[in-house]
Amino acid sequence: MAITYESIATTTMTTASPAVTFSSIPQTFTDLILVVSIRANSTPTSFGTGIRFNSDTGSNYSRTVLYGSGSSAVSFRDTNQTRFFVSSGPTAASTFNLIRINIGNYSSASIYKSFLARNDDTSDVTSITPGLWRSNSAITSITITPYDDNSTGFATGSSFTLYGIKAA
Amino acid sequence: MAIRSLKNGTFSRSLLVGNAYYLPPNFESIATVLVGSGGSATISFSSIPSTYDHLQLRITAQTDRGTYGSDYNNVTFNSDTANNYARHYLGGDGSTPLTGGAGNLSYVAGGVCGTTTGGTFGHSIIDILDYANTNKFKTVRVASGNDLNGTVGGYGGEVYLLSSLWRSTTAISSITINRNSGSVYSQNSIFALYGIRG
Repeated sequence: MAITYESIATTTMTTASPAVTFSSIPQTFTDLILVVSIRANSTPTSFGTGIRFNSDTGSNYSRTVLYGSGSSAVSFRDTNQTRFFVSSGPTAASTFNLIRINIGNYSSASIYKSFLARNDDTSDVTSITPGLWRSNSAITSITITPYDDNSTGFATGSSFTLYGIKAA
Repeated sequence: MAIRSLKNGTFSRSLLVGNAYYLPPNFESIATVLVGSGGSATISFSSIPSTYDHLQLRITAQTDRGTYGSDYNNVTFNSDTANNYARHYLGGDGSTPLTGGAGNLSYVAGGVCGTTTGGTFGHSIIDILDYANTNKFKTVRVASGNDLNGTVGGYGGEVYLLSSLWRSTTAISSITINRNSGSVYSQNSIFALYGIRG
């Protein structure tokens, strides 16, 4: 029986880094799953993670957010963004946010790309966010960058793994 | 059939003595449907093996529903269309959090999909737990969303976490997915069924 759920690539920060890119993504899977465990390298007042596909910096990303903060549930949307943004709060020492993004039919050259992100931020919120990249291009690279008002990047120990799921 | 070594992850070509150990994969593709030109009104998976612990159905889909940007997947098991299903959900429409529930339904809510009107494909991940157990009613959980980059027909994108119940102890051997409002699923919609071993 063929292996269906495969690790394509993985990396763990040994020094603080401003970005991680998965490139030359094989087009042989049906879905991609990106699993990210991150924390900021400093103590910013706001911190989050931006995702871009194929280095597209145009205003082609959007999202519909549902999150719970521990006291209330909130839903909002962002349109015409220059990246898909996953909000994360400042993280305490040794505490990492877990983000898991499912990307459906990523290799199609005929449809806009839809994806579903789950963020478990133990210091702030839990959220689920469908996103849209308005491009028919097959996804061949994914770049993950921090949004950090101290601009110090992802901390040592942050990890990034890209999986592929094959179809029958 | 390629086989993979438990010791070092290398692949061999057979199970003959002296070759590498065999590591069975625990997430297997059972069947996949890619909708072609002309669309498809109904998607069905039949003769599902009962050899897994759980099933996962991964959907990236669009229907031809007019006016609105979202449509919905209605899922039934073993051709049961009686009122044996129930659900609860937590969701959001981009401006308001939503929650609700209903019993005695004729299908499991299988999440949201896009429409040709909105130009998007919604994404749903449906876990069907302990599907072959003949002593339990079946529990289904869904994570699903469809973003529209704004609103279409006055409605924004939608996101849902759903928990559903099928009140039957029968092992699930077939799954049928129907669009809620559109007449067909659009070309390039994908429905992929996987089996998960413990």
